[in-house]
Amino acid sequence: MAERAMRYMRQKVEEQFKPMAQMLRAEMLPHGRLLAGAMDLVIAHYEETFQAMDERHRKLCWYEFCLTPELFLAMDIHPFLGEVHPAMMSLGSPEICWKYVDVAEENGMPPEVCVLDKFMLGALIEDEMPRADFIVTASGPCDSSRIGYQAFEQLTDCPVYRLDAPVDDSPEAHAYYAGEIRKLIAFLEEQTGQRLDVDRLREVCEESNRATEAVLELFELRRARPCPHPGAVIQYSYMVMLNSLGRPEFTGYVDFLRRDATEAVRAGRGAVADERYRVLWYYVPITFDLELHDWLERRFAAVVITDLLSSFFRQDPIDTTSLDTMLLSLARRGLEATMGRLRVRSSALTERFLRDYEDFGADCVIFPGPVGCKHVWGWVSLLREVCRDRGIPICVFDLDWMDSRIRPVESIRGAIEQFFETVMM
Amino acid sequence: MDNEYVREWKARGGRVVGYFCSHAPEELLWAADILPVRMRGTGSRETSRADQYLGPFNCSFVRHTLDRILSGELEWLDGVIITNSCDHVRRLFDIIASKKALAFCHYLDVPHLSNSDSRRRLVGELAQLKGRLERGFGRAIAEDDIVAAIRVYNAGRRLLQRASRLRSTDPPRATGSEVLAMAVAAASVPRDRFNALLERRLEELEGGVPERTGATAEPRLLLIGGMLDDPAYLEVIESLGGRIVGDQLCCGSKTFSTEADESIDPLEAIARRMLEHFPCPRMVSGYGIRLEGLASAIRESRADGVICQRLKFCDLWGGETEMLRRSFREEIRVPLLVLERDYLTSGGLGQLRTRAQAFLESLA
Ligand code: SF4
Ligand code: SF4
Repeated sequence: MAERAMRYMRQKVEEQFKPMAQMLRAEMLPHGRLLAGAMDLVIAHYEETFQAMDERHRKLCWYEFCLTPELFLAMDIHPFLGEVHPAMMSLGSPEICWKYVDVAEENGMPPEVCVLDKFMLGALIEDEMPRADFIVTASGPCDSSRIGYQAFEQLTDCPVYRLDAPVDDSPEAHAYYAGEIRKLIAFLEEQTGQRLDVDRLREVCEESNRATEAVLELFELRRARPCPHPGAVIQYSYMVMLNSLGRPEFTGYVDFLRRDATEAVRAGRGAVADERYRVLWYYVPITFDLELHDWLERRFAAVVITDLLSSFFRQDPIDTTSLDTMLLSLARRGLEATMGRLRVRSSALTERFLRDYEDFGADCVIFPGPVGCKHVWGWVSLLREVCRDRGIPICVFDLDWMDSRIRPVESIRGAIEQFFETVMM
Repeated sequence: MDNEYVREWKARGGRVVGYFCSHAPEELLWAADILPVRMRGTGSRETSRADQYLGPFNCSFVRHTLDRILSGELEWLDGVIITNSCDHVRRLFDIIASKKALAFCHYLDVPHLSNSDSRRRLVGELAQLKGRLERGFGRAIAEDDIVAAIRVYNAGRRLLQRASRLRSTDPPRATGSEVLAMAVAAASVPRDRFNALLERRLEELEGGVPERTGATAEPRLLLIGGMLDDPAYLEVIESLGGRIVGDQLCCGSKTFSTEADESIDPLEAIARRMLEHFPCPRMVSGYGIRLEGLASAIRESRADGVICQRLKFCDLWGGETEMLRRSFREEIRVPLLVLERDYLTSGGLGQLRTRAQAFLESLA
């Protein structure tokens, strides 16, 4: 049964997340004041997950990238984004990741598959994934997730609903995906025995829009020199957001960040005392090096102004005029604001990259490419060419963002150090 | 790819367009009087040009093929159509498009689910492609042309199905490597000519005295997996006494086991076949269907064992093998050998020999 899953997750929450939240609040960790709210949201997410599993009073939906939580929340379903779970569980403790990765590989999953899918597969085999009432998969963003969810289905006995996420990036593709979400509603209604209340969906979307507005403003404020907040703030907010958009608690947190950043900009206060470098962190966060941002700040006076995943969220708010407009907005949001965005053509990714580089006044790029993420490895050389042509300094290295055995902290920091010392100084 | 038939086609001013995956609308190209040829990396010796654009974690089929394109060796190609078969191929498209390596590049977004909505969407995509072909190559494609193309392709598929059955008769009248060679040839020879050639060859095979009478006693094998277009790989297994009685390979029976419906709208028929022909791991609702298809293929061909080969860094087939291992252990209960390989067979033949030999011994 799911008791095992609950035990290890509870342990993680009690023994790591809660003490960490306290330390953050007590400013015993760098930028604690700003990050404590994110940790509180992580804790609340897991406590709700436990409650849904214990009491089964609400359905628990394990869903995939290419979807955001608003629709689930509107139907009183507990949204559990599978892909964020490995990142949360591996935060500061890569050994959890090692365990599941090893189990997955021992069971025949090739090492080159994405760590997210290996983690979830290993945890499922060990019966340590949260017990979902149903799984909703969107056939994206990548080969790894497409095949991963088929493997998960083989190991679970709950219903699995599949959406077809188009690879295309056109208005027609968005409309098609909105149709896929519309069909999902029928499945959710069947699972919950409740009809979707469109007004309730509108309320959740409006809440989500309030958070969106705050996040967009936060991005605007991050353009200031010096950048008012450290990179960790935006990275953690993004991770939390994927499960929390549409919840008032999340809106409250990002609103607090917005107010704080506004004040910092007004006072000319930066995350780093003498900001020297503005780094565009193009791609994944590194879950086993919690002090990385702090190190960058102290060692090089470098602040991560934004990162690829967080920047995906620079999106229009949801149009709440009608059910149709909401579904279209949710479709676009699911495809464009999550890792689902990586499905698009390299030229579109590069265009977005240049927009970010320019908008945030970046001086350089750090590109940690996960070994399992094949489509990124077919893009990065084209990106490098663009950077070379435009004189943009870029530091590319491979790693596994959760499994520290592939490239340990020292090696990652070594690569960054060398970049700063040879290219930037 | 660049054989005498293609050269002849080109010499008389014909156009040739490459495609990458068995989810490709060959009939539409044929209807436009364009010769569709399946992209292959054979002949490639090194990959230094492709290495500049691909990371170390990309599949070697894509790497060799890209290298051939970038080297200019394939400049006789008038274009390429790429479906979103996998992440590696998607990025290959981006690289070719960005380098303007070929004059005509089209990207076809093939859905990952098969239902009436996804079919409708694919029909729309095909209509767009049709428009681009018409504009790009200056020739209108009439509905009748597509209907005729479907007929030619279906005839070829039926001939290949006939050839395929000759592998499993007792004694066999064709080897697994021969049938793969036929299917590979079908994808790079004008289909009407191919059909005539195959028809003749089948008459010989069906009418003559079977040569391999001793093969009746050999372990019967089913070969499955992703990209494999080199009959030499199968020859090694066959030379060790393994009898390949059937396959489910991207370049093998997946290209001919189903036909397009000749009684419905032709674009709809092409779309249906693309989505419903024996599903590959890219189709997200396909594992159950694939497993069922595999189980019945094992039954029908009376296979004693299954060999699943996959290219390193192919996530789709990587995940598939994980599932297959479990299904074979728990349900299918037929021995399964999983082999990982690089696209160019030559480098890995020693290892193949050792592993296949051990597997065959375990079946004896
Ligand atoms: S990191 Fe890359 S491979 Fe992994 S889930 Fe995201 S897009 Fe897929
Ligand atoms: S073998 Fe796999 S990775 Fe390579 S092109 Fe085919 S599907 Fe893609």
